[in-house]
This record gives sequence, C-alpha cells and structure tokens, in this order.
Amino acid sequence: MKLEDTKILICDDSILARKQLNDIISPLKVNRIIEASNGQEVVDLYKEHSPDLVFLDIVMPVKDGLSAISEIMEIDPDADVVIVSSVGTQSQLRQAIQLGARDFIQKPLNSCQIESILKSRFEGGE
Amino acid sequence: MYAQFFGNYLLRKQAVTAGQVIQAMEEQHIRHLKLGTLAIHAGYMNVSQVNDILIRQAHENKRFGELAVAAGYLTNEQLETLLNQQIPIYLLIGQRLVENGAMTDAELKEYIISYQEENELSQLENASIQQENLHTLIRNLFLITYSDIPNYLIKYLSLLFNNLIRFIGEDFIPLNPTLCQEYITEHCAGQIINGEYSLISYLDMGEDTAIMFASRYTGEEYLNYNEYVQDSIKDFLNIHNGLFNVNISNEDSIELLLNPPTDLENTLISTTSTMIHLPITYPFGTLNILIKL
Repeated sequence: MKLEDTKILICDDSILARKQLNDIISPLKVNRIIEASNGQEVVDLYKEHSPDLVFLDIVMPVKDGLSAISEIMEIDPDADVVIVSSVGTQSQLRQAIQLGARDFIQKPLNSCQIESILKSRFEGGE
Repeated sequence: MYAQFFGNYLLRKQAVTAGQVIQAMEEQHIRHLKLGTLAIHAGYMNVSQVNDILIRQAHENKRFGELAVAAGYLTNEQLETLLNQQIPIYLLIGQRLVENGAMTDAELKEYIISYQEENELSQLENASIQQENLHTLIRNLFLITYSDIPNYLIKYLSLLFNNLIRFIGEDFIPLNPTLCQEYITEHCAGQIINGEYSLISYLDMGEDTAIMFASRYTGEEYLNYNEYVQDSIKDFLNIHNGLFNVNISNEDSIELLLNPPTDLENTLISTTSTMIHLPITYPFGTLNILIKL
C-alpha cells in the first residue's frame, strides 16, 4: 500500500503531542490523519474509519492506551498499533506487545523513528 | 560540575545577588560552545551524527561525549581533546561576575575552591562520579530545609535538572527550597506517581514565563498564552515523570504507575504532610516545582 492511500489514527491526550505527530506525518502526504484525545475516542474512531495504522499513547484519561489496544484488537485482530508513550518500562512494553501492539516508541517524539515506521510499512513518502 | 549549583552556592553565601548571577549566566550562555559544535568544527563528527547523539540523549540519562564514544563517532582521545577545549561553564560565569564588578578575581578563586571542597567535587569526568556529584549537590541544596531527603527524591530531582538542561536550557539557577503546606497556582500541571512509593509533582509558572517556557520546549515561537503553551507544561512534566519511571524500573526494578497529568490553573494545592517548593529561575522567569510526598 502507498503512503498516499493510508489513513493514520493518532491518539494522545496532549494536543501538543498530536500536533507534533501531525507535523511529522503530514509532509509524507498520507491520505488522512484522524485525531483522538483518549482511549474511548480512539476505539470509536477505529470502528468508524478502519485506519491502516494507529499511533497510541498509554497514559490517558477516560480510558488508557492498554485498554484501548485490547478493544481495538477485538474489533480487528490485524490492527497495526504503535505505542507512543512517555513511560517505556520493560513490563509495559511486554504488556503492550502481548495485547497486540507491533511497535513501541518512547517519548519525546523523534521524527526519524516515526518516518522509519511509516516507510517500513508503506511505499512512497519521499 | 554543575554551574547552576555554583550560582546557588554564591547566593547561599550571599556573595552575589540573584540578578547578578542571572545576568552573568545569560551573557555567558552565548559564548559557551557545546561539545557537538566543537566536534563538528574539529572534523570529528558530521551534523547528522551530532543530531543522532542529541536524539539518543533525549532518551538516555547520559552525557553527549559518553554516547558519542559508545556510538563509535568519537574515540576517547578525541573526546579528551574536545573536553580540554571546552571551558567549564562555571568558570565563564565566574569570569562574567568579575567583569561585571560583582566580585574580585581573588574572591572568585576562593569561592570556587570552597565550592569544590564543600561539595566533594573533583575534575574526574566519568559518568557515575558525575551522577554522584549531582546527588551531593542536591543533598546540600536541601541541607537546611529537608536534611533526611529520601534517595528516590534525589534521583527525581537529579533527572529533573538534567531534563531542564536538555529540553529548556542550561541557563537556570535553583533557588533555595522551602517546605510549605499551601500553594496557589497560576499556570500549573500536576501528576501523580504511584507504587512502592508515591509522589505528586507540580510545575507552576506565570503567564509570560509559560509562553517562553513553551517556546523553548517546542522550538516554536509563541507570542500569546494558548492551549499549546498550556499543554507544554503538562507535556514536559509527563515526559520527565515517564523517564523517571523508566530509570527506576531499570535501576531498581521497581515498577511505578503514572496517572495522566492534569491542569491546575489558579488552584489552591494543600497538604497536611510535606510539600517541597523548589523555585528554579531562568532569565525569562521562575519555574516553581512542588512535590507532595
């Protein structure tokens, strides 16, 4: 699949973190970026849009990221979820991977890591 | 050695005023060349290698030189050459204080020697000694206010000073901490850490300070207080606390839990137990760190 055809769902309670992710991804010309600000919203938006990739924070109000992964996996066992979190302890990493996350990025955000995740999955973006 | 604490030491000795130290720090900031800049200038590293190390540094509590040697970008000999070229920041501050007439050369020399002796500092540069030096400086900072400060709090503050240097800038001075039971916030974020031990930390500042803080933190220029400025305070606190949890997990095998950070604008924070108030002054304003134990 080409990057220009992909839908990316970003979920973080921080408007600043969402903007930073958006600023990194937008120049790669993806088809659409959808934003959610808590675990419940990301589950609802996943159902509605079936995105190709989800960037998901863990520590969030209403519903945390780990609970959200479980629910997303029930909706779509092939969901591609990448955790982007300030807390990257071994046990959380293990838990996230066990629940179905495919990658884990520790904040602060690093544009190279985000770009490499996108380019390893999708074509284009130069 | 940490110039920020030399500034605090001079304040505690009443050798200079806070205004004189802040002015000196701001003036020397421009003249202090970072190791990465020196490495590029010497032809030892290219720009992308320096950027790579800066990214790694944002995730690891290690010094630039140490990471560059580990990555194979610098040899130990090259690092030593660069360190010899880099004039220690506290000497530059001291020099500015003398030039500005705040003290004489002889007084500066005496204060540097007594600062090193009282804080058991040496010129040895290895990372674990640096870390231990910083812990000693923090214990001394809290000597009068909170003499039995727990080790995890020293680790917390040690990481905080490092994160301030990394994300906001090194031109700050920690003022003397106090204990309080009530505090009224302006623009503030708070976050709870729970587990084997628990603490609630707050980061509070005035509006103009918040605008400058956010501009430095994000690298974007904000002119007015808005939701991005507000979120920068929360984001910094969240990233700092997250990195603290990772360090505690790696070093002590203790898993702590982090609650989502919250906004606490114009709020009364109170406690019946202990709350530490540590003001940290930058040339653009004062950040107030509050820690409820």
